[in-house]
Amino acid sequence: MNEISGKQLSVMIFFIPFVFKMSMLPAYLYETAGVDGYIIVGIFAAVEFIQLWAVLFACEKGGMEALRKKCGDVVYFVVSCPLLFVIFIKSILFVAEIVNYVSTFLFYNIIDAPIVITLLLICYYFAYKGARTVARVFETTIWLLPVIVVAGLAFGETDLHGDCLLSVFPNGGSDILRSAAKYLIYTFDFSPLLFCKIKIKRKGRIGLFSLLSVAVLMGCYMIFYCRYGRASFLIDCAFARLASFDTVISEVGSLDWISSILWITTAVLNLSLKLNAVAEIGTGLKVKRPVSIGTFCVALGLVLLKAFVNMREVFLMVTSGIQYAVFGIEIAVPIVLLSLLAAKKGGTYAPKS
Amino acid sequence: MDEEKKKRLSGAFLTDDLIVRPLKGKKSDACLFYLDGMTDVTRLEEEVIKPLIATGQAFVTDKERLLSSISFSGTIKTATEQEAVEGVAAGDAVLLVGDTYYLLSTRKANSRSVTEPPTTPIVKGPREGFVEDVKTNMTLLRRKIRSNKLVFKRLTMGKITATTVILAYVDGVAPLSVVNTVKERLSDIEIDGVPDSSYVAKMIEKRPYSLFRQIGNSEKADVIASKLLDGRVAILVDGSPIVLTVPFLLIEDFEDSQDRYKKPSLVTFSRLVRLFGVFFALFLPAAFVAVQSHQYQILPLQLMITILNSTGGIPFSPTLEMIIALLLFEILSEASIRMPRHVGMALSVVGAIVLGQTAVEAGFLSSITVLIVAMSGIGIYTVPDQVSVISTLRMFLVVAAGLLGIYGLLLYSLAILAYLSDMSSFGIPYLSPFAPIDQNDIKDALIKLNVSDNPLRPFSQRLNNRTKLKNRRNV
Repeated sequence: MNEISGKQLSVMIFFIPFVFKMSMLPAYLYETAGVDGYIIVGIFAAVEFIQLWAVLFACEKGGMEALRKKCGDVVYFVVSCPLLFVIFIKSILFVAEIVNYVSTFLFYNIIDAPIVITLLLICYYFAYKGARTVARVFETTIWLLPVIVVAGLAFGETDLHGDCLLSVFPNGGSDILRSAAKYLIYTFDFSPLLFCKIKIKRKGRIGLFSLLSVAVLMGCYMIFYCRYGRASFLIDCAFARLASFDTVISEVGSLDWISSILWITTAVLNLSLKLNAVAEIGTGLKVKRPVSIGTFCVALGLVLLKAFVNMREVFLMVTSGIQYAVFGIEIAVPIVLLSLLAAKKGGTYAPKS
Repeated sequence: MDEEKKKRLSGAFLTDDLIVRPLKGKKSDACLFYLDGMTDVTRLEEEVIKPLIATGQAFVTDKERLLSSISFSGTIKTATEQEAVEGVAAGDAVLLVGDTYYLLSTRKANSRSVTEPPTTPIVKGPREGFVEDVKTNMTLLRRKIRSNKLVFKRLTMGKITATTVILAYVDGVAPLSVVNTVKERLSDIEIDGVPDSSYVAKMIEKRPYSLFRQIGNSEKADVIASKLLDGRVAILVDGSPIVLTVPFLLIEDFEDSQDRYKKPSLVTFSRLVRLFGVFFALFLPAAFVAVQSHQYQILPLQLMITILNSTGGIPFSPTLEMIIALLLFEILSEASIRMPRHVGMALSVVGAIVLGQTAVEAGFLSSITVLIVAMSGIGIYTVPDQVSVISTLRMFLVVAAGLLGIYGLLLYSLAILAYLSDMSSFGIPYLSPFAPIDQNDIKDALIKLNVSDNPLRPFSQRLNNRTKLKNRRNV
């Protein structure tokens, strides 16, 4: 149910850091750091991949499943509860991003409730099926990329101003640190992989896709800032409005809906991976899979729809001091996991090859 | 002759078509039992009865001496009472001599001749289709694969029908795990009757209520032979011309039986056309509803005006209008399948006029909706085996699109994709070679390779013997 092959992992590590950094974050980063936003996101992505290697190393040792078998349920509970908190906060952010994207870009006038409910239903289904299903659907979405590139190249009308990127580090780089500290919540998304059984044969491919992800992410940010210049902070749903995609109108209609399909699909899959981690935590704590995912989704839906008036409040909450706790837990968990697995000798647990 | 045994065997059949034929000998009698119409009576007369009577001997109970007095070309074996009853029911004849039952293989093969299968029209390639007689079907396969490696394993299913089911595979090619799994699943079934191969398919599928089939089928001998050579296992059921194959992948529905005989470039084009056909059939009605109801900003202004002019005055919402049009199409489709041929033409004309013209003129449906449904309907038939599946799915897609536009359509499509990604057929992922991606198999999935460029069997199956082409011709 949670077996992921090396090829599937490569596709996932390309999309996972990409998707939620390409919605509202470009505008936020421009607001705080100007065009240096692309450098910040490059740093985010690079640091995220350091976490990835730690996670993969932990997965080779057996991941959270090995922790439960070697150290018992209590230790497992102690390690997984903070992860549950992290996943909850991140899920709030991700759902808010998706709702914002859908309600702004796909509809003229719609309330949030149906978007949230249908989204959580689908993510519940994916999480119930397991990480293997998520990974396979990730594999199928990669076919959309060449369609988007071809459509953009064939029909796109670009209007890029490269000079918008000039004056790198205008304030000596202090904006970079300030912006990075303000939006830490957008990094470190690989902890759900701790609950997967990953078969890696070629580590070189992982490294290549990691580099590709960083390069493409930075490239997209650069194109975005070149396209919109000083108006960048006004643009929500950056991926939908990237350069040529925003003006791709052909005889049969606007073609930027292809990029919308890709973004929404990868966003749903990303969120589903997190819910799968919740299911695995629940299974480790002897709670049935449908119950754990269902409870989590209900709690998520209630918090989003009842606790917050609008999605703007959600962003304010997740980018407050709470993000530092999330950041700290994301760093600490793989380290603690590896330490506990190394400390507890006797009986190896290796994922089936 | 044991009169008690004669009475018991006669009494086992309450039917009027049981023939009990006493044979008078010089010193003792014998008795022949068979079912009228099931047994080759001519052969029985010529090879058994006449020689027996002509010798003028007393009927002997010794098998060797009995055999020497007749010239029967089939098999003769002694049988218990139960075997005798089952044998007569299956069409064999039983000769009771003394207190011994002799089972004579005299079944009459009453089946239609080998012709082009009606479900698979053929332009180029062999036209031999399977028939209802399993022995004829086995022979058709043997003629394609003339090797001792072609193995047939016989099973009997159905407590009342006692249907012969044959498991066919190529030894050394088919994975034994699949063969054993199929055998196990077939053996576990305890049912009264198996009148058709579809019963077997439904009983060994993991998800019998799924819209998507997990077991392939074909009526063509060359297709089944080709699949056997690719490592699949075939299931032949007596009384059914449809032969089953396992494992089955979704991509197989996009392949046509004639793909093997046409040029690879033409086949590649055809496969892509089929894919687009299915894509349009499935998504066009829903996308139209989504665009009309929610995301009309996708459309260019000119097209939007055309649609507005066409749909103006229609009393239904776009979703309801599309559902009505699709339902009418489905009703017409069902009626035309069941209608007798000589009335079918009239129905087609009425259906076309009603749907195509009158409904639009009456303001019941818009012309563009009828056009969309017609285009979708044509696209459905590019993959005939998936017609029902696509028809069902597109209805739900229209509802999802009507509720939440492209967002709803996308989420529902993702749910279908998740369902298919999770499915497997006898251990092989259903969406293979696309999910998980297999670099070797994907080369021959939508794009058709030349036979000489495809020397290996599919990697999705765990086969021991992968090579099917060793020496290619170097031009």
